[in-house]
Amino acid sequence: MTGILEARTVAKHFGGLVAVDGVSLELRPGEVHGLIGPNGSGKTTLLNLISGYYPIDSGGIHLSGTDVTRRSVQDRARSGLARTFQTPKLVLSLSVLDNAMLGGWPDVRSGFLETAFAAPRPRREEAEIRERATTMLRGVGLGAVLERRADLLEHTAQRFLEIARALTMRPKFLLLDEPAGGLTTAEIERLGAIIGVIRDSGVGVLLVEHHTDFVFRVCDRVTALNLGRTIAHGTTTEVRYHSDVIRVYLGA
Amino acid sequence: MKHHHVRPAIVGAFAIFAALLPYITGNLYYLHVATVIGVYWVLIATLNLLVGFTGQLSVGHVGLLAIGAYAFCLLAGGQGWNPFLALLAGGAICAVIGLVLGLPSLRLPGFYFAMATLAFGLIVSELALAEQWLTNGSVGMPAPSFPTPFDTPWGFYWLVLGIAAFVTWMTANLARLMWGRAMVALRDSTVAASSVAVPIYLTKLMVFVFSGFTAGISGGLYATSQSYITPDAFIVNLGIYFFVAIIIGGRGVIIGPFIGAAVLAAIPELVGPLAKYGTFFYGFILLIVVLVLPGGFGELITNLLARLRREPLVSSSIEPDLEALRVAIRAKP
Repeated sequence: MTGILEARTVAKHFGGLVAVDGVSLELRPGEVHGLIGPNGSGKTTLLNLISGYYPIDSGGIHLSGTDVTRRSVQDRARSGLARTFQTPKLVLSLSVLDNAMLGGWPDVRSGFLETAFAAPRPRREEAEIRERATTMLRGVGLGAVLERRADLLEHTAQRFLEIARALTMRPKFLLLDEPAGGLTTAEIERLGAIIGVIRDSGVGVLLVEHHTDFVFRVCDRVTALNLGRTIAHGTTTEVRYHSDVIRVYLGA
Repeated sequence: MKHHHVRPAIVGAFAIFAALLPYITGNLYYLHVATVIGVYWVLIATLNLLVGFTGQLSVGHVGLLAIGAYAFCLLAGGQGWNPFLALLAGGAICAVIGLVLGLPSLRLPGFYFAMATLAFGLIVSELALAEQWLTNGSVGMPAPSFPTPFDTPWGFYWLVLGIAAFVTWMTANLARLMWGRAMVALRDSTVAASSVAVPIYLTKLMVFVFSGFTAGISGGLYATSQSYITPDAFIVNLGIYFFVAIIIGGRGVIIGPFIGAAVLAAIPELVGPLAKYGTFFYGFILLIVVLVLPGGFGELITNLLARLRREPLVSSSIEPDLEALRVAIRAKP
């Protein structure tokens, strides 16, 4: 199908450990899809398979109708897939603005020599990407610290910077790996509002999260994993009251 | 990657001083030292892109310097080519060799890449000695000079200065625009760089080939500055000194290579009667820098400049502007 991100019966094992065992999910534009499950259930592994950081054992990943199962991380990023990381992966020696501007790289057409000679095209691209990154940073609330080095940011700001960098890529799909980790209640509230805006703008958001109440509040559909398998899949209400989900989370 | 007014003023003052140096000092020996600083600067400027910005630790650039020097002498001397053409040809040869060397070795993790470049430096140094039919072995060969007006010490100094300034301008452009961010990103976090589609291997290769080209150019200029070249001029220590010059100057700072080149070329001269201890002083400065100024002198200067316009480090709460965000995400390219 076109326009959606699909994982089809994806499997991955590390040595004897089966991390993801035949999981399928589809992410549509303009929806927030939650991915929940206890520690070690394979959420982050699935994210790494979808974004291409791990080679896949079996199954396939389809991005807007194209099979990207064997494509590089970079190829997938260029095809409109952006993500954030459980521990923010920032370029700590660069400023906040520089970090967000990196999200403009997929649009850079200027070659190495063109840039060395500061030809009109690289300068035009620079201005355009700077403008876009600045708007995204203001949008997520980092407008006051554009020139600050990323390593001087507080944890929450680092998380929001990663989101701004991902948005600067103008992605079709955005994978968020535990974005609420380490945030205060008020900050989670703001994160929820940002995710809402991203969804309303037509981007498909896959949200991996531990805070289940947060997931059930912001997601349209939810997939619950346990030990690498899907145990429940459906609308938020369906998954929330699914007997297996309750059993896994409450140990009942 | 920042804009303010202090930097252009410093660059301007420095450029005027450098350009007028032949009038400021009538001493030809000082002019020679300044020329050698310029020659090293050409090589170290782009080596800094490779080592400082991209994080690829090459200690073998002396091999490229040697090949550039011999290519220049053979083509401009033996073959009678126009020296400028021979200089460019030496650069092109080194760019191709950089490509051939980089293709396999840039896939290696940091330490092994450094070893591969060290091996390359050693091999070139040995070949320069052994392949007498080409290099005259230990006898060496004379280096041609450039045509008028570059055949005088000051004329040649201006030529070298012009090339060094031009190369530095190119590195500054690369560093401040998107390619520079890509280089630093892949140095600091390949995971982050990949996530925004930075082609890791290709970027390293581009930088390596570019630094190979200018190392070749530097080699030709080096030959002329010495007027005669022998294999002893290209021992592998020099490659390590180049690397050290970047540490001293400050890796990843555009002005760093100049400082490193100046220290490298000036130390043996400044210590005069203690010349045989030149390497000792060089090592001593390295030790001090590593212990006290891990970012090198370049970073020290950058930090001092930054202090002039320091923004207070206040913790501000994050207040998203959702309406602006909505507009920005929906904006069509």
